[in-house]
Amino acid sequence: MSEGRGGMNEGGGGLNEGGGGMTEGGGGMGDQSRRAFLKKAAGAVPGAAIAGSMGAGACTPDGTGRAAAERREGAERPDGAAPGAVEAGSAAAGQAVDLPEATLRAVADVALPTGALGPDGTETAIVGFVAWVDGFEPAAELDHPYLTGELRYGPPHPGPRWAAQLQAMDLESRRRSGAAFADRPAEERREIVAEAVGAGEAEGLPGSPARADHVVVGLLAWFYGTSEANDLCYRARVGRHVCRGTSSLPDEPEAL
Amino acid sequence: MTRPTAPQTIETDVCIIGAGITSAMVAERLAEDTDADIVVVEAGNEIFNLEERFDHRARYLAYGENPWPDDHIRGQTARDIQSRSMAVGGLALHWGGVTPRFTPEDFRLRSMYGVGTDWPIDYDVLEPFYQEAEERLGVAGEQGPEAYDERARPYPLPPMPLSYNLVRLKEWAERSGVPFWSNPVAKITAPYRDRSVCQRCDTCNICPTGAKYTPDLTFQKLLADGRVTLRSRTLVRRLELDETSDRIVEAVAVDRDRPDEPVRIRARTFVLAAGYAWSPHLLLLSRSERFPDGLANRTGNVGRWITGHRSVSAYAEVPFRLYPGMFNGHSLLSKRFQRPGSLDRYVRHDLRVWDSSARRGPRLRDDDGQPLLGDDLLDDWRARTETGVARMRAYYDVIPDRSSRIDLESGLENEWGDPMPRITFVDAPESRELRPHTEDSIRGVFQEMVSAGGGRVLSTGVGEAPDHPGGGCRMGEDPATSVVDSYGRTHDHENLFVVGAPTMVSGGCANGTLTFCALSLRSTEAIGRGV
Repeated sequence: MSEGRGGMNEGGGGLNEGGGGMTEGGGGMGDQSRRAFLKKAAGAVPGAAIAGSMGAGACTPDGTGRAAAERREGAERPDGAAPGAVEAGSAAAGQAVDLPEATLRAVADVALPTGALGPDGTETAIVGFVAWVDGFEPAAELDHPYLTGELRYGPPHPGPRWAAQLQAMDLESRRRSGAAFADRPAEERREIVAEAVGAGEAEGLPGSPARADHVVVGLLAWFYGTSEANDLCYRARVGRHVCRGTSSLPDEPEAL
Repeated sequence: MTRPTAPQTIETDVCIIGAGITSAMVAERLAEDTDADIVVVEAGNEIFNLEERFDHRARYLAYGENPWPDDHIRGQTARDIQSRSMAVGGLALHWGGVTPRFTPEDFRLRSMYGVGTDWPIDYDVLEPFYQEAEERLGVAGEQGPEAYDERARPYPLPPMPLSYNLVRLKEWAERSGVPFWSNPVAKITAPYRDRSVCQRCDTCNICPTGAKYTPDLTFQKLLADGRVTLRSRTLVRRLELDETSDRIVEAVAVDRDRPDEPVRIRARTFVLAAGYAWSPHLLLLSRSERFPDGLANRTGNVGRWITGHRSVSAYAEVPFRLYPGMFNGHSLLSKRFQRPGSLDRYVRHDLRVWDSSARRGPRLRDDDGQPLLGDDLLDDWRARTETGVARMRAYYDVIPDRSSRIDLESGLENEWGDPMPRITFVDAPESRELRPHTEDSIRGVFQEMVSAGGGRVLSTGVGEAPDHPGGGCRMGEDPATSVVDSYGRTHDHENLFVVGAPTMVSGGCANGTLTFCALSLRSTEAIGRGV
């Protein structure tokens, strides 16, 4: 049975190809739809993070919208608290989040190892990431393994924040250069993305993509957590978390 | 039969309180050996969802979500409790399925080494029950060197194969002269009693195929055969004494779905199988005029001598490539240091080795702090994984003080007003005195392995919280220092038994679940004689 993390082996929806107030693309986005998007995202992120520069502001974790929606991590919910309650304006469980497609693809083009993946692998990764975002449930009860009696709950939905960051990258690109982010040369896009990554402190990738402050880090954390990425690293069919029987266990994994 | 709508009074021969792994062993054995009517009472839910486990596993892998939905009870907890799992299956729903035996020395610490307390039974008495437990769980194991791995009969199943990684690590580790072999596990490696064979999904905390033993498999079969009644979502709040004797006559419980109608279970024999925290807890809650400190507690030993073991671990770079992700959950085992022979100074521990991806993960920035993107990030990761990492860990038993205990916490109550357990681990003075020597010795073993095999130690650490806790109703021949006899029968109440982890005298140097199961099966012989 083929099994992969985060929908890497599945097709998925969620890339907004038009309509719904979140259209994206060179010169095609109407003001009305942009205002609708900003209104929708504003409930989850502080306004400054959208209007400000693509630096620390855009990477700032959720501000005012977070407190009401988020459950304290590492602590049990108060008795009687309704599970999954989220503030209006942020993504509720099961609600798809539209990530601006063109900008996301342009980010992925420089952030992911496209040389190793090739076009098909890159496309699969993008689709898988979007599916992962779509399937995210905010404040879900997390695994509570041995050696802890505490119940933990996940973070709020990262989708609106990430969507706003992608939108902000595009807006800033247009203001600075007159061109959409997706239309900039790869070197320039890489610089912008590196600047976003460089703003953080942690060296490693977060274990949970949802805890990534910035969509670029979220994308990388998700991708590099997949079985396919592990295989790419080791250039071998390790098949992490693929249910594949024990008969081949003693064998060195087959080279890719 | 589950979820009856009948009046809430139940009459039975044997009432087993708790539906974890030891309860499953007792229920199954009693059902085979006797015609007794058996009722199993569990506070938590039934999670009989094998057909959904692939889906839950997928959510766990993708999002870290709890793969066992509704496996706990809101407010029914304790500070520093080892796990919140409270459901049919208990902690053995998400256990790793690791099933080593204790060694003979674990039962004779005082006689052999002058530390701790001897058990009232020795390994030879328990040996046939270890075998039986292995057969019931479906344990796959490899016979280690006889000097270290004593057993009368073979494992019921062939060993879990070593991965390529563990084969390389075994070669590496054994250059130190320490023998290693495949760790025994309750996972099916060959066709066995209609169980599913392991598919190496490598999420043993949520086995989607049922190859790893979980107690729900036993309970579902017993229910299908009509041999037990399972009363889930029913929390036993106290046990009641007979008015004219010290026999237990009734368990009083709350049905969580019908809390205004108390459930009363009247039985000839009561078996507490609720684990190290909740079995002593129920006894302490069950106060009466004749037993003001709780049932089975005339001598004040209920809740005392809580045991466990600490761990010392290390990560070591090894000078060859490994492939993390092949089968992370399996390990090598050595019992060399559990069976040390004579000692100048007591130190015993197990020893396990895994392959690890620690310090070998992808990173966002290079050594100069510059962001890594695109193929550069992948190339950096590849370059850093030319050598592998071994994880080594040793459990050593912590000899408990009498004040290492479970009592009742004022100010922390469940929704029915019952005070919750308070768990306090306290090392015995001899344990505190031995601790630096023990931990230094273990780190020395790690260094010797690395020096002999090649590589370098990257880091070491100590797991402070005692793992695999037990005790609280420890067994012994003298009621002045114990709660139950070697069969788990309480000294104070002839028809009240405690089984499993609470009866342990010491935590041993290894995962204790197989030992809990063996003890429970032995207890069942005495329980069965009474019905």
